[in-house]
Parts: sequence; C-alpha cells; structure tokens
Amino acid sequence: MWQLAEKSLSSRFLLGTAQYPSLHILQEAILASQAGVITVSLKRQANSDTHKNAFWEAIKQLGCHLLPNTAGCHTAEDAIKTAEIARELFNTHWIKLEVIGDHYNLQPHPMELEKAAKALILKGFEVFPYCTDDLILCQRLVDSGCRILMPWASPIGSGKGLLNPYALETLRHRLPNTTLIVDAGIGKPSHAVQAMEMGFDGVLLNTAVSLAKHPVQMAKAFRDGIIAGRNAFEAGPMPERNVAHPSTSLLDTPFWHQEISA
Amino acid sequence: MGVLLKMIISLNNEPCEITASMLLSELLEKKGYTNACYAVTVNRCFVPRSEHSVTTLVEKDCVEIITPMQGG
Repeated sequence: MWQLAEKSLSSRFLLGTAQYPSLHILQEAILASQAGVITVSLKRQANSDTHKNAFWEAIKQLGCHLLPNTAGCHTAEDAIKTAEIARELFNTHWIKLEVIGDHYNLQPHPMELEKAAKALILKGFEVFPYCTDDLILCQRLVDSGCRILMPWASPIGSGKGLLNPYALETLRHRLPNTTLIVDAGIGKPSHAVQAMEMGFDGVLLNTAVSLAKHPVQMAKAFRDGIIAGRNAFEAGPMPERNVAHPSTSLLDTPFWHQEISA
Repeated sequence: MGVLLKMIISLNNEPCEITASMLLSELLEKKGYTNACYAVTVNRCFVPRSEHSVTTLVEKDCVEIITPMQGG
C-alpha cells in the first residue's frame, strides 16, 4: 500500500478513460490494470444527449477513485472554474490541473499553472498539476502547497517515453518528499518501468492503453511493468560499471591459472 | 387571473421559453434533471447545487448543463 494524498492505494497505476474502442473495453481495461485511480473530464451537454450518461454509468460501478481534469483550459481563471464544477460533479476535491500554454505540443503554461494551483489550494483542492520537468517550476508548485506533481515524460499522446531522463531524475533527487507521478508521453511498459526504477511514485497514462491493438492486454502489461519497476527501485539496482567483471569467480576453476594467449 | 409572462433563455446553446422569474431549480426539474450527475453554469459562471433554488433566471440567461465524459 502507498499513500496518495489522504488515500491508501495498492496500485501505483493511474489510468485515463479516453479514446477506448468501446465502453466495454474501457471497463475491462480498468479492471485488468488494477488501477485505483482513473481520470475523467467534463463537457457541456448537448440538447440531443439523453439524460442518462452511459460513460458515467459504466465507471461508477468500478469503485475507482476519480481524478477529474481541467482539459481544454488555457488560463488559470478557466481552470479554476472547471475545477469547481468538477468538485461538485464528481464529489471529490482532487483535481488534475491542466493549463495548456501551447497548442502544438500541449505544453503546460507555467505561470498560469502556478497561479491556478495557488488559488485552488486556498479553495481546499488537492491539486495534481500536470507540469513540465522544469525543476524551478516544480519547486514553485511545491512552495505553493502542491503535495503531488505530475511532470510529463514527453508531450501528451506522443508515446515517446522519457525524453529527458536527467530532468526527471533531478526532480526525484531534489524533491524527495513530494509525490511524483509521471504523466503524459508514456508509450510502452518499458517507459513506465524506467520511471518507476527512478523512484517515481506512480505513472498516469491513457493513450498507450486505449490506442493499443489490444487495450486490455496492454493494461495488464503496464500493471506488471509498474510493479516490476517499483520492486526494482526498492531492491536497489547494482552500480553501473565501465569494465567487465566476471560473475563467476575464476579462483580454483580448472584452468584459472592459464594465461590467455594473444 | 394574471397572464404568466414568458421569456427566452438559452439552454445548452438552444433557445428555451420559460416563465418569467423562473428559478433555476424549477427549470432543471421541468427539464428532467433529477439525478445527481450534472452541474450547472449560468452565463459561464458555476452555480453550486445549494444555490439552484435561490437563483432566479432572467431574459437571455445562458444555462448550460455539465456532465461527465471520458478524459486522460
């Protein structure tokens, strides 16, 4: 078990709910992932919509903690409004704070993000800011009261994995008391393993599962990868060396004293 | 008997005729929003559930119903 804000969770996998081939596959993928937290969003209803929301009906029975996002917001003001709506709609004070600064790579806007985070913390939210891996921004967010940070691995939906491992390792080293969750850009389970081996507390992803050829199977692969990565971090990897070192002791092996011929 | 005055507001971006001075809670009930799975904005401002019964709608108000959807 580990602690995410005030909740104790068994899984370090946080899963998004968008872009699945069907609601049934979404449900099956969530169950296979064993994720304890799933992300959700909100939309304006069209008059053509029925009052019964099939998505809501499908996920509310799964018993996962909900992490609503502020997707589509480009200013702190819009993000704050969206968070307040989400708090009532989903009955949670958790908010994945997204304030986008650039349309091309969906890079978070650092100034608006910090402004929104400060305001939302004052309003009683548990803010999960989706941020870049910039150390100074992350320190500012922590100084603003964020207990959890969600730096990107690479741009949302790119599947490129950890573009700047040095920056992520630096965050882990410099912010040892902050819950760090890699969010965005994860494409394959090996990327998730890499982040977890660094000591990240969790991984949040969506597209890598939902757009996989077999989403349910991929959800299982990520589940196992995240567990493996965490186990490796806790076990403590061996130090890397620049020269070979025999794993079998050569002393007293039959030919140990023979010279190697040129 | 007085004549009930009517007015036009926007509901989910479409015109909607309602009785003048109708409360937001009355509109929601009339339109069948009886479950808990929605939130409401009026003129792009969030109106908490606790204020639905004290929010009086006026001509040209823009009411939008916000519902859950998939997200990453």
